[in-house]
Amino acid sequence: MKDFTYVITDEIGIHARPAGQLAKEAKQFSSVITLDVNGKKAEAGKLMAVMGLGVKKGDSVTVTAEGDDEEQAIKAIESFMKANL
Amino acid sequence: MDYKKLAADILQMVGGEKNVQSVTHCATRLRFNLSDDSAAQTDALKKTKGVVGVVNKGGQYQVVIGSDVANVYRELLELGNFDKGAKETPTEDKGPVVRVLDTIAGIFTPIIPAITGAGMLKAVMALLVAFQLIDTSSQTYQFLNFFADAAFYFLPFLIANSAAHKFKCNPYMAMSIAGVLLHPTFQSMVNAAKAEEASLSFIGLPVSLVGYSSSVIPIILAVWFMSYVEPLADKVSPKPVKFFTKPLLTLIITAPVALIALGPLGNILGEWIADGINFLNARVGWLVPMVVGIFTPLMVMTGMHYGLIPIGINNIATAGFDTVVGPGMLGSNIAQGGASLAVAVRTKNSEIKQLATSAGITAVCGITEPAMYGISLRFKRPLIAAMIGGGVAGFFLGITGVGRYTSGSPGLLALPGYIGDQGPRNIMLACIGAAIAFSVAFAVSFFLGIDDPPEEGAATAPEDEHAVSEADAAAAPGEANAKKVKGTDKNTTGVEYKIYAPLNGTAVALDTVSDPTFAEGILGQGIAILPSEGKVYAPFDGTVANVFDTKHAIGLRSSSGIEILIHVGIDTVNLQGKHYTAKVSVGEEIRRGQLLWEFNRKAIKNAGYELVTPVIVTNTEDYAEITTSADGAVTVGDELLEVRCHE
Repeated sequence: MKDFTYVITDEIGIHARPAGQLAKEAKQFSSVITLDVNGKKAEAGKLMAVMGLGVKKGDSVTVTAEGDDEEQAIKAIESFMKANL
Repeated sequence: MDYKKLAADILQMVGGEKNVQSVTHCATRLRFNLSDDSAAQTDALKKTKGVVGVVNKGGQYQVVIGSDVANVYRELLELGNFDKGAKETPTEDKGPVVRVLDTIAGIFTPIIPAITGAGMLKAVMALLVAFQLIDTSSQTYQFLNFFADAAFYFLPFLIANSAAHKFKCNPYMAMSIAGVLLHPTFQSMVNAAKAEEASLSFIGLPVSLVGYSSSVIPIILAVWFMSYVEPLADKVSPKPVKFFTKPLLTLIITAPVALIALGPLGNILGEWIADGINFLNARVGWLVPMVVGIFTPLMVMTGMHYGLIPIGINNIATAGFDTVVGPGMLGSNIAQGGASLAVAVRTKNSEIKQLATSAGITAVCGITEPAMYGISLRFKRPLIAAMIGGGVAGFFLGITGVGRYTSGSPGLLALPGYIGDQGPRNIMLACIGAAIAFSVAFAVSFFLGIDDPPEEGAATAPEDEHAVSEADAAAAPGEANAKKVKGTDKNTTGVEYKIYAPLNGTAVALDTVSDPTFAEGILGQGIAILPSEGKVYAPFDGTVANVFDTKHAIGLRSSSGIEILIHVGIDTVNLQGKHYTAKVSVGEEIRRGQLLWEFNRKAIKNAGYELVTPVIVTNTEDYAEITTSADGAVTVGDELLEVRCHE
């Protein structure tokens, strides 16, 4: 299992569009990718669940990946978040 | 079922040990008092396997489990210390009505097993006597009689303990006060004074000649008063002698006040309630049982029935007979069972059949939560049937003046409690009332059928198929550690669902939307509507999955598990909620055609934003195909999208 923690810097947090992009990113991998924010968890590929987290600027998001391609997955998600969120 | 894991999951989802001030359980629910209700993940909880429902009412956060709740409760207690004496006060300011209900619930919930046991024993004895299986002059009978009577006679002790937990004072001190009220010496002083038509006084102050056995209100008032005396006594006591001055002061102040002021006051209140009820019985006897019969399901949902239970206990304690709470609730509970069993007969879905059967039987026996949360509230129409059946039965029991002699969970098992010493009329009428409740509710429920969400109108969809996919969908969101759920494809092969237009306007293809996230289908397949009116309506029956803080978009989940996002305008997240008014909130159940939210078209346009509104199936990957069935002008309720499951 791989993980990292990232603090959201985007002004409006993870709303519909970034959630969709994140889900698209996550679906490329076979690993189960999970977001954990303030004790709430959601699978990154599950759009409605990710939007339901209501992630805001300043929230600390812990991303974990578990599976065959967890290494690549975690790298991809981390760079996506740094670039977009 | 793995109760250990379930308990751990529930604890985590109600915000962890630190958020739990106290927890008790009743026949089917875990009842939490949480420091911060908003820290609980209600949605995730509702979807947890083993949890039938969640209710946050009456100041309690209630997790409905079912009849095996005690197992979960036991595991829960292993996980942490939730003892009554939580130091923090609730951070949320609950309203006065809620606080009173919360208090009453907190006082009566823990003692219910004791009075149910006693009530049922009384019922069994009534049966034995009715069939002449026991001699009422035998010693065995006398023993049984006081076994059954003890919990009622010493009710003030039981209440003192739970009230002390509720009012946060020492339970042993509180029970000592109950002892003062019930002490044999005091009783004999009262009896002697009564016999001699004399009076009693304590340091010159008059003491009312009242007996407190089986009383309810006096001890609650006394313990409530004590909860103020105790901290005061603590404050004025010098530290070195506090260990004895604090309890001494508490006792010497509370006991006289209880006997001179609060006890008589409580006694008068209790008599007033009884008088009021007698008045109603004499004038409009049918009214109260009918109202109780109709509204019991709603009262149980909100915890308001805890306001009635003490009245019922008070009636039995003062008049030996309760016509107010028992009959109406008897009708209501049996009606609930009848409605559920009608669902069991009508449905073709084996899962629902099973649930409705067991929930129906449980309800007929007096425990309605599984029927209410599993069937009635889920399909709505059985609830209407139950309310009609309960109302008709309540009316009948009211005009015939039926009452119960013992308390107990109202249901078939409590019927023996209607056997009194006035002959068989009462019990016979009670049985007829129960039969009316059952048959009316059964008939109405059978006639109304269960909810058949209209978006599943396709010919290939067998009746009730949605329930199967609903179970699948329930496993999907929230908990991520669960395996990747492969959507709703199993058991629903090739089924088509319809999604209806949520707005009036013009339908356009998704790829004409200027935002590539929508146009390229990154969020999922769907369609877009150029709205001609600033109102959004529910496109199917289901629940609200998401309302964005900025209210520019809303996520909905259909009862069959289709998740859709309605996003009003492009880039409108930047409006920060201006010009939008949501009419629903997260977790709310919605019906197709219900108004969900409103927006000001003109203002959004003037602020420089496009109004085009994508309607997207966000779990597109769970389905085989999504096709648009509209082009050009659409009105709310027109067919908009078709969603087909995997073969």
